[in-house]
Amino acid sequence: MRLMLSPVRRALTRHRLSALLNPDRHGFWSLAVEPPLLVLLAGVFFHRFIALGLIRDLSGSEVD
Amino acid sequence: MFATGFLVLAACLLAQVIVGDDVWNRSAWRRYFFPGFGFVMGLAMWGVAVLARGSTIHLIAHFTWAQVMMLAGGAHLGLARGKLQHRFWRLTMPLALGVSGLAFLGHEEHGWLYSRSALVHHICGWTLVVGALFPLGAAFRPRSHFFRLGFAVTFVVLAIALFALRDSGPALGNAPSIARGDSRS
Repeated sequence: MRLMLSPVRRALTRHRLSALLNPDRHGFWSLAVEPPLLVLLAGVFFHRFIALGLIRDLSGSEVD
Repeated sequence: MFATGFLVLAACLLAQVIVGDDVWNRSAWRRYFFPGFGFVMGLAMWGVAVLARGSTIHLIAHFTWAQVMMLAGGAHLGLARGKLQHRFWRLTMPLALGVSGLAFLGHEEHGWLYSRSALVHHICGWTLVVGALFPLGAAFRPRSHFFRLGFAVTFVVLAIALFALRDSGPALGNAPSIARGDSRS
């Protein structure tokens, strides 16, 4: 439980919240294009579009 | 953004080695994904090159890079489709990596430790130059796990190096001022 709450707790630290609540100071791209977020996106993309299909094919089921 | 692309490519290459070509190629879009993605990144590189206006060497480096990426992506799309069959078309990939690495090294005018950007350019350049050996070996030994894994790891190292270009941000946390190069004149 502590491991699962850790990213949430880290996201709610003051300097991260103040950056999100004051976007004009940082700019959209500065906030959106951050390596940890991009790695997350890459992982989500890979899971959704690659891994699920591969697992299905590996187990030999029909893909529609 | 390119780091994200390289990371996705690396994950796909690793997955392909793990599951094998038979399972990977069962889906048509997976078969075309890697070469197509590489081709599109080559197209995107033209846009990046345009942003380097005012610097001839940057223009040349990025245009060269864009061309070889498109050549490699297009050749491998042809191989995946079956339009191209000769195995020498696979040599476009080590050519792309080698030329990309030389482009990185050629347009970086400063030494390794001059700045964060210079360090990343040198790391990426040499990673690509050495990493070109893996697709070169894979062109002649297509079933070798060593060469194919090495090819995938090359992209992982590239992605890590490019992600390291940024050292601060709300999600990242803040690097100490001394690490941010405040001492640079």
